[in-house]
Amino acid sequence: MRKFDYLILRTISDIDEAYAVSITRYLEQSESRMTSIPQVLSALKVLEKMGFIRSTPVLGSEVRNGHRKRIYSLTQWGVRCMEKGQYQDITEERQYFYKTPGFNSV
Amino acid sequence: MKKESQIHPPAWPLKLVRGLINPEFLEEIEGDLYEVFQDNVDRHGLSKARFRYTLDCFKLIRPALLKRNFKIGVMGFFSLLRNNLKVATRVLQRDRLFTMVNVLGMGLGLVISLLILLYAFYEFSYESYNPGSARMVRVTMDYLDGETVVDQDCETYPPLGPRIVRDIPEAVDFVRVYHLDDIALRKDDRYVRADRIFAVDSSFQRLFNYPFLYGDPSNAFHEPNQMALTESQALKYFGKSDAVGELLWYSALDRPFEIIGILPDPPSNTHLKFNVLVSLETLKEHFGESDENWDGNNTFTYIQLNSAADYAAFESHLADLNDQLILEEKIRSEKVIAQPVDDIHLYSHKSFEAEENGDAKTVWILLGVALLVILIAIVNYINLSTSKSLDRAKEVGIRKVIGSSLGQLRWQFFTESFLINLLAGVVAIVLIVVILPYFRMLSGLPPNFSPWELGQFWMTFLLVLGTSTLLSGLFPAFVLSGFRPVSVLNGKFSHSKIGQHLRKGLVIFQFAITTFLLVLTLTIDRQLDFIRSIDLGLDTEHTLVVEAPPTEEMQAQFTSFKQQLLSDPEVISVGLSSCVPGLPSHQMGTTTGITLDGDTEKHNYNFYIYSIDHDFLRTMKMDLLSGEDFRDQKETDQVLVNEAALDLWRVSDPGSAVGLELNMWGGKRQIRGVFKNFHQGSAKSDFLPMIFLYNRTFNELASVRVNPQDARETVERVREKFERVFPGAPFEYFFLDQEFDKQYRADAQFRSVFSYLTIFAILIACMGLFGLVSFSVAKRKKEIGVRKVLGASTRQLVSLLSGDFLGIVLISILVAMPVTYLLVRKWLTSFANRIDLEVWIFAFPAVVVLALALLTTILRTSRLASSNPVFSLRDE
Repeated sequence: MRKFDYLILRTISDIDEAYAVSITRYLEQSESRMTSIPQVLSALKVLEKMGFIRSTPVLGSEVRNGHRKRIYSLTQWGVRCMEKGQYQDITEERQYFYKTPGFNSV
Repeated sequence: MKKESQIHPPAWPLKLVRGLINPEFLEEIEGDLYEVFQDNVDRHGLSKARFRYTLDCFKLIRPALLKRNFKIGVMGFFSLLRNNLKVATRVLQRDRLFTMVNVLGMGLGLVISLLILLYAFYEFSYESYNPGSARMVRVTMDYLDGETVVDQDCETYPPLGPRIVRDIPEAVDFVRVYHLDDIALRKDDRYVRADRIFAVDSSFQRLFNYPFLYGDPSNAFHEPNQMALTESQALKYFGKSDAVGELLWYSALDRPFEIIGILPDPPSNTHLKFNVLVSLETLKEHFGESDENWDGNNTFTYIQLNSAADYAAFESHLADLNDQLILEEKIRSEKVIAQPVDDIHLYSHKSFEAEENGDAKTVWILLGVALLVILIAIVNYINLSTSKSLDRAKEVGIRKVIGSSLGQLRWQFFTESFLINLLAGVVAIVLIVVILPYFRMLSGLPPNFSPWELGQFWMTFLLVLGTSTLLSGLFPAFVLSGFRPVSVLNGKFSHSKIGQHLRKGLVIFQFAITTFLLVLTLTIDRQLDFIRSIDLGLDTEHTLVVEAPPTEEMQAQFTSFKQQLLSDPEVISVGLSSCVPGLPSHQMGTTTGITLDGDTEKHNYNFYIYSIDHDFLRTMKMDLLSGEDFRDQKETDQVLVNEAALDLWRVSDPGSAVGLELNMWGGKRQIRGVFKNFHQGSAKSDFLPMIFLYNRTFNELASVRVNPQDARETVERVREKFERVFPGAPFEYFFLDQEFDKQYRADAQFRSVFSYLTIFAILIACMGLFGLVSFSVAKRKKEIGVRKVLGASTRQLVSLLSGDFLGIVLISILVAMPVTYLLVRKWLTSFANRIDLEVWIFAFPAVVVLALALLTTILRTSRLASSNPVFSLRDE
């Protein structure tokens, strides 16, 4: 598993309102690494497509110029993946059980 | 400070990438970016926040965030490219002859184009070392006879530079550069002859932008007896670069000069190459040169303009100043004109140039030929690709049936063209590495010229490669991808008439160019030989020219040295003179304002002056048309003049000129005799108006005519005598014919480069024909088998197969001839003395082209025609 993906999963489990901006700020503070919004957004979309996280849209505020935000949370596979830290094993296990079509295309 | 409500991120970055992003994510992404932007404004300030926002927008272009279609498009493109490369590699491997002919043809074409472009880059790069050259002009003078320009001189009067800066607002600075004769410099007891010596104003460094490696430029050239050397000269005289403060003796003046600066060696691509610079103040002190001297036009004058855009206005003001100077009687029949310094090397061919300049016409002709050669190579590729259309037709049909689009098919053919060109590019680079040292010698490029560090070279390489890929791939891509799958797969496909005509047309084009190049090569060859064969008006062979020793004391013994030489039985005659034919014109003295006594018309024609003794004319074998040669006498006021000088004074009969008096230098001189015109330089240039003065006691050069047998031993004996009479003085000599040959060096280089270009063009065209014949023969394999079975002989078959192609080549010769005749005739009109265009100049290349084409086709067809028909018919 990529270290960055693992960090994203752990951040989602650690903070209350996990969305791209809050995850980025958390990573910058806790890991002292320069992280950009596009990098985090890209990782979130990949992890969501693979079923490790899910998202819920929330109405936007003034600080977002009225734009909605998506709050992310871990799925049971995401929790297992984070605990195990083995991205590939979990993927194969999930594929075996659910036979997700198009899974390999990611 | 802006209010918070007004602070927004820039709109354009997101607009730019919005079309690429998955629309489902856009709402969330815009919100996130906006929130981070506001946060960054508080933390880092507005400008930094905007920069980061812009950067983040571009970072959004990631596979996970892109639109699905776009993602497929990008990924599809790469997989298609991989597939195309795979197929193209297989096609090229399958048809090895096709690949080899194309790669070699294109490779040779690229080599020619790139080498010629390198040569052109170099020729156009003159003065590029100087960042201020674009706003620098050189002021020159045309001598007029009425409205006719009789001479063009690149030197002007010393006061002209300061006057221009004073009167013309666009001119901000000037520098005068005085070309001095070669001199001997002395360090301790060692004399070394120095050439390329110029006397310059203190503004030299400002205008020419040479940094001082050692020394202070602000104090340079303000005082007399100051000298600056190039680094290589400093090493030559002192064995070290930092020679500032050292002394060098100017032997002719017997005076020490202080080295006040060391400059880098001038680059090879500048018209003003110097070894030694001395202050112009030196000339004022020792030679009485003055800033108010309107009598001698002997300095190069460079003017710096406010900006390059001021050139037109400067020219107009210069014309006004010219009128004013005529009114003030400073000048008479001269016209002062300006020329941009950047144009000097390629466009200036005036008298007294600092060096032999290049010729823009030559560069453009070579560029044109290089273009023709690459076109021949491209035509080869197009011809061979389309001739294989039958082989590729089924492939195209099947690809179309299984869903390949027209665009994908075109990409496929472009990929093949790209691969061929890429391989040709590799071949070209390897060949350039091998050929470059020879090309440098052939073209006159400097020995240290290397293209590999030149960004321009690689840019051009990519540009030429890209253009040839596009041009060679375009036609096959559109023709081959256009086949209809139904007719192809039904077996109804055959070569279209249009395609065949087109291929024939392209072969005609190729061989027409080849014929044109061959005729032009022959014409250039004949014309340059003709110029060399023109009677120069003297005999340059078996003549050794010895330079005078450096000091006045030694020079007083020069006549005695001559007497010693004459005692040698192998020495026929010895003539002393200030200059000899073949030397650059700045080695001659010039003067203006010489008129026939009684002639009321005032002219300022430039007359070229030799000082000679009574044996010079005889030694040079110059003809005297009327009057008498000088006699051995102490001195005389009489002069000898040539026919060109008489023409300027409008005296048509040399006989009647003898005895006439000339107003010269404030006195009168009588014409003693008229000698026949001779060429001071190349026979391409006109005769110069010349006046020979008599000087028996000292002249700088001794021309020694020797017996042709044992010339080398005679030179050794001359050396021994020189060293005996002038101990310690350097023995400097040259042969007159070799010095004269330098005038034709550029012509010889042009002739060699052009000949090689033509050979390459013929080679490429023949390779194309060879490939085309190969494919044509392969297609008619069964027909040949059947004909053989029915009794056709090998000779009949060869003539049948070759006939088509020879017919095409014959047509190409007929097409080429009228255009070639017109172009060649136009080229010849630029020469005053030119050859007649005889029939054989056209017939010989035609025969050569036909013979080569015949050889190429016979080579390919005879093998198949003589093969056993069983092998070609056993498949049936």
